[in-house]
Amino acid sequence: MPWNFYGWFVFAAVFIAAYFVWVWFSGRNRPARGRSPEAESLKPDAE
Amino acid sequence: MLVLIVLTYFGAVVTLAWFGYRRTRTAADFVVAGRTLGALVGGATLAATQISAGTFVGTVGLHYMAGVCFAWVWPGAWLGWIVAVVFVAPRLRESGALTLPDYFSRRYGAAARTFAAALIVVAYTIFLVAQYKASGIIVNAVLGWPEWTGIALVLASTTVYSLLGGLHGGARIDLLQALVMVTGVVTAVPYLLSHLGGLDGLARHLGTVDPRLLGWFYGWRELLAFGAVFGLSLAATPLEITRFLAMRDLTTARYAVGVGFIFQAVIGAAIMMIGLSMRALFPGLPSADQASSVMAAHVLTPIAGSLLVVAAFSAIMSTVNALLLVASASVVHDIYVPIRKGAVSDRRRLLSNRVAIVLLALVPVWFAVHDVPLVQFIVLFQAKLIASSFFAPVVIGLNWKRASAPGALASMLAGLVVCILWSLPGRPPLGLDAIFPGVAVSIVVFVSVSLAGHA
Repeated sequence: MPWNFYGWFVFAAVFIAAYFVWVWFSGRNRPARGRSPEAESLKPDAE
Repeated sequence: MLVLIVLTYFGAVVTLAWFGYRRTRTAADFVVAGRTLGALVGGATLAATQISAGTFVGTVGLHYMAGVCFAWVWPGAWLGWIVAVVFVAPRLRESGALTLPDYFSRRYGAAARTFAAALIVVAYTIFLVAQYKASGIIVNAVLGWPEWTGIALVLASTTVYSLLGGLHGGARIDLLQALVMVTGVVTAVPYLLSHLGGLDGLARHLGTVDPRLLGWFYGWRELLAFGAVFGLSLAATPLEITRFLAMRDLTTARYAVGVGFIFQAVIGAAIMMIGLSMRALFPGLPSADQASSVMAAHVLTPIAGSLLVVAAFSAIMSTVNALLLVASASVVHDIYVPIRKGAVSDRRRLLSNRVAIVLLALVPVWFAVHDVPLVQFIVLFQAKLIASSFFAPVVIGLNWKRASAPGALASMLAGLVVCILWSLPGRPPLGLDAIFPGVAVSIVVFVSVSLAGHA
């Protein structure tokens, strides 16, 4: 099979692993619950 | 064997629907499962919703037609989910909305809410046509029954479990269906490869049929367009992003997206193998959409064939369920309740949701029993409509304080019109897929009208 076949499997594995690493790190660095200060600052214009 | 597997499957679906019915007390339980979904069920429901007839019939068909290269469309879909979970999910959850048009009403006012709700109903009716059509194709090819029997089967079963259990039942059935899909497609691959002499044999056969199947049948421009259609629409499609509203918290939603990636990668890889193997075994099928059902009927053993048929029906039913839930919530929560100025009891909203599901499920049947184009192209067309209308007001609007109500309304309208005009029969202008001008015009109009309003 050609390289774009095997390459897809390698890409998918690396992509998913990198995603879980990011989620795990971002989960460690954020408060567990509650509204973020950024969200509080984004008041809807239409209201 | 098919009957036994189908009965077991439907027995499990009914049990889970009953479980969902017992847990559904309010309209919020029905629409967002009381915001209780965990990462496994959440990831399964994201994947099962996205994987539809378009995947089991259309994507197999596109691999059959175009070979290996079509697998490179998946990264586009995954990037769309990352945009959704990073830029859309946090703000949307914090808004407290139950539906996407509900968020629009809080951010942009009543007109944007009505427009968005109407667009969701129209686009998802088109999407339902593709799902029904695919179920007819499968039943016809595998069992030799008329297409309408497959449509009736999906219509009856999915409508009943959708109106009984809402998302409480639907999400857990999605987990069952995602597992059935993985089992069905993964079981089929070894049988196919054994017919072809393994991977090397498959490559030899494909090289004989058309060497482009092993290379780049589509160029980077076409693959980018396919990937963009999936990515841009997934980032903003109500079908997926309202699932984030049903999860316990944001961290759960992030893990759920990862779980969804795993389901999609496994199913996507198997689907690619199925499409390639079918091209090698049956290079001259009259329609690429027939590849999966011909395989289930003529290549696999009875058990593997039955599992694949049930897996395909799982894909169709999970998407139909999601479409019905989101469209009925739009009709009831975003059109009916505002018309009655909110004077609708929670009990009546719940009942209205169930009535809306029945009506919305019936309308697309008329279109599905008539001749329609390739399933995957219907799926792509509605995805383009959704992306062109919703990408700017959802993804940018959630993160940009100066976004305004006129900007949102004008951008949705402009994106929709440009997408439809660009999709008219004939070669697309400049060789560009409709999604690019649709989303680009929508963004430009959104930003310029919002800024002009502030000035």
